[in-house]
Amino acid sequence: MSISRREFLKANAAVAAATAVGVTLPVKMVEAAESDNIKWDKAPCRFCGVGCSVLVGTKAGKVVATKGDPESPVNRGLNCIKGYFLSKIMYGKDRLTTPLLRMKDGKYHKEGEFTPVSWDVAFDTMAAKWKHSIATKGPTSVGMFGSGQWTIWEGYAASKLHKAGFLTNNIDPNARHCMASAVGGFMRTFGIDEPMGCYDDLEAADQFVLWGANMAEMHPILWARLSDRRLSHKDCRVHVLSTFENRSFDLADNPMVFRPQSDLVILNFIANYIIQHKAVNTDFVTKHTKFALGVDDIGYGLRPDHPLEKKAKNPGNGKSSPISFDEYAKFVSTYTLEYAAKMSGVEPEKLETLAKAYADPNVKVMSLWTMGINQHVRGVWANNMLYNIHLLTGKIATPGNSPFSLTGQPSACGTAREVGTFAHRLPADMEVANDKHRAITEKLWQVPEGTIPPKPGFHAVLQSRMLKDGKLNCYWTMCTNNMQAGPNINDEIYPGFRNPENFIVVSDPYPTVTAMAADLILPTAMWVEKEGAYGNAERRTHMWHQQVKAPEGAKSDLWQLVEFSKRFKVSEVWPAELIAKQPEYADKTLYEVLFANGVINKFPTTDCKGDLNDESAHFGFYLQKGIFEEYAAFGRGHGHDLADFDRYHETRGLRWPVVEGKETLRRFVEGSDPYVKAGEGYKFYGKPDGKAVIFALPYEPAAEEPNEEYDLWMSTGRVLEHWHTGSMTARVPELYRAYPDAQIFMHPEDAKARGLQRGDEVLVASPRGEVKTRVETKGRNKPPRGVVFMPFFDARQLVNKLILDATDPLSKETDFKKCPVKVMKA
Amino acid sequence: MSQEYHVTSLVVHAAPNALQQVETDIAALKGCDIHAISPEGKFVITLEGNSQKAILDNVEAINALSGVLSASLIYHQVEPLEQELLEKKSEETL
Repeated sequence: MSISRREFLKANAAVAAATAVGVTLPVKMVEAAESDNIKWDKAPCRFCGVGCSVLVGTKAGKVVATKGDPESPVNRGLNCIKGYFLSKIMYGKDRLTTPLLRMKDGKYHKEGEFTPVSWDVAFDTMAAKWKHSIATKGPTSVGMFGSGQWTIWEGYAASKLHKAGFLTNNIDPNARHCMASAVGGFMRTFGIDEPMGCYDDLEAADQFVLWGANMAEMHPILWARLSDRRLSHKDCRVHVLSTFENRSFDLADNPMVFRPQSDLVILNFIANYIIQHKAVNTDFVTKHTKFALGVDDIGYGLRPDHPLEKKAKNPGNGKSSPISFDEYAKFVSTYTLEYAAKMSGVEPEKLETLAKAYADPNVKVMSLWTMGINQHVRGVWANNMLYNIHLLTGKIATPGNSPFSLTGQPSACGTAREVGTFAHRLPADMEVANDKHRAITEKLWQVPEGTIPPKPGFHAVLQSRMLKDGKLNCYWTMCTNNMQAGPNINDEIYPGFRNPENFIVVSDPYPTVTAMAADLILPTAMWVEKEGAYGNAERRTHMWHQQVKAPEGAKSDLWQLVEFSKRFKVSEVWPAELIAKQPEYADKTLYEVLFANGVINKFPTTDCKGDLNDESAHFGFYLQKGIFEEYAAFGRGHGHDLADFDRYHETRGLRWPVVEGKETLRRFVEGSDPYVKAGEGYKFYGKPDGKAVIFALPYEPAAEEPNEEYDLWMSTGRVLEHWHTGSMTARVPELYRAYPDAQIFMHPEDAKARGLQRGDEVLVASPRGEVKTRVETKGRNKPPRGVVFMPFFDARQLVNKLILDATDPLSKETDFKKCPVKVMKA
Repeated sequence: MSQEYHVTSLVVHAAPNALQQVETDIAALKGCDIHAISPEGKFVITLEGNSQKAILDNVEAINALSGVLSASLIYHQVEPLEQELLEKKSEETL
């Protein structure tokens, strides 16, 4: 059969799309779409927390095509626009290929120029700084900022290197800015992290409630599944809540724009409505829940000398005391419909429609949320309050009844949370402050008792403050871009990077804003240039093989961490008392103690089924498999069971706990979760008594509210085309052109009142600085009067310098959504 | 500058009451082919062009059509046009 090249390629493309929707194409078309010498292999998408699988086509050592993976149960062959351009993220023109050290007169100098150096010089310089700092100022003077975009083994290697090697807990992931409040909510309500439900609930729910999440742009593939459900199930309804109208409102049956921070009032109103309308599932509540009153007036996670912290009665206090159902009912009774409507500005009928969805026992409700709830000065509370309404009605852990915390990053769950790369955590939800948890970890790591410090390390925002204050001096950031993504850049982040006492290392594939502020930049291999494993929002662990070589000179984060550990002898970083407990370690390197430890190095390189594995070739054993198996030992038999390593390469991922080879769709419920015994019905086994906690928590105001001078609420966030700070997507020409510059979205009347027109250049200012941008009054986001929205992807418009570093005092996650600003003609 | 051939496929989900209008509107776009429409109102579409921009302009145009609920890009491939010409030549000599 003769067919032109063009028709052939077109047929290929058409068949891929047809497969995604389950449509059959004419035979001729299908015949044409046969193989084309492209080698296809699977990989999870590099971007968001949805965890889509893509098929990556390589030819002659380069990625030439990508397509949605029809075998993936997550995206079923679909791609969003970012995922679709994935293959191009590795080929930006300014890809880094050599370490760059600031030098003057041939030597390192804080004020020197970036100069290419070898990896040996880079690591020698770094190691000398680290050793000196640990010897003179102790282990708390070194630290690392990591990522929810790290692979599982990278997070594990980093955490182990710090907690058991350098004896510091000063390691935190950028997931602190993203999912920490979700984690706090899970731990407080259920005692175990991550959603009980899964994406299958999207096809089982009757009604959906979006709490601040703009899924149409931020989780487009799940949005496509939700849209399908809305159109194919006649009783399906969609409620969308946000502080401004966004693309998700297009599908909304019940659109609600609420005043910032009043989500807390709406949540308590729904709880009250459920109680007042006798819609409490008494049997469920009695058997499986208990009630507690949370401590209030907890401050804003600012520096202790900030007036707002001094004013708070119980800053940072996450304690609670048991109460009865009646006391809880009385507590929420003041959150009436009238009060909720007044506080939120939402029409009472709409609030009532929303409350009814939760209260009606015959309606299956899926609640979905992300940054609107998590990046919130009461983020943990808001998460708790969301679970309250699902627990009061017993609408949880069954098909379609699903409080679902969407995830921001591709492995915030798999790496940051499950591996325990937070400053206070260890693998499998364990914590450094818990004696038993440290003992279990030290045993599995084969290090002496007392190795892991009991005190939590510096969390993300505290790391910035400690760098500025000169208490944290050697700092390595990997796979993240905090100089653009973190809050209060000018006052609290940049000063620490340029503090002459500090040595700052940034590992990245590209010269990001953060890299350019560092002292040493390390060029990094990314995505399919290395073997990886991620864990998505529905507890799905999935893996990929290395499919192409990284550019010569770039090395993966895993290689960097493990190779760096070779530069330290135990005797150089451990105190004598600790070494005395295991004297045979004294002359060993951290590499030998932590990685070539008989467990991690026990699998031969020949076990790897992929064509390439640069790390294994370098170290002489199947490093990724070794780390995975050591790590998996933490969770097996403890509610976090992972399957055998090889199965993840053979499948499109599995949702943990994986017990006897079977994944778990919904946890805590009999028949689905192997940890719930026959006859128990439900068991919230994260808590010792098996009961989830319903918390009585009040509305408390945002850290700052608009005033006469700074008269607008500003929220920052993302757009469909770009991933976070744009360090990858802004280098894909098509995505860059699709959305080149950030803008400030504003109500036309607000613009008019300031003498502004669409497209005008403006200054946006807060007490912490100003940023220049352009006004958009007609775009995809339509804020009400008094609210503006500005995305943070644009490195030339560092909008987060305007944001106050106020956090949820319990989760330490910054509120990026409620910053009072003024907007003036530039 | 070398010429390129770009091809892209996407699935466009349209509201049930707008199927016909969406079909007409999409068919009118340059370089656009509709290969199939599923009973649920999903269009299987390919877009061809000599630059990514041409294709993306069409994607944006589709997104902006009233009645379109979502547009998911599925597949993308680029080839230099020289290669195509060479292959054509070899086909001809055969």
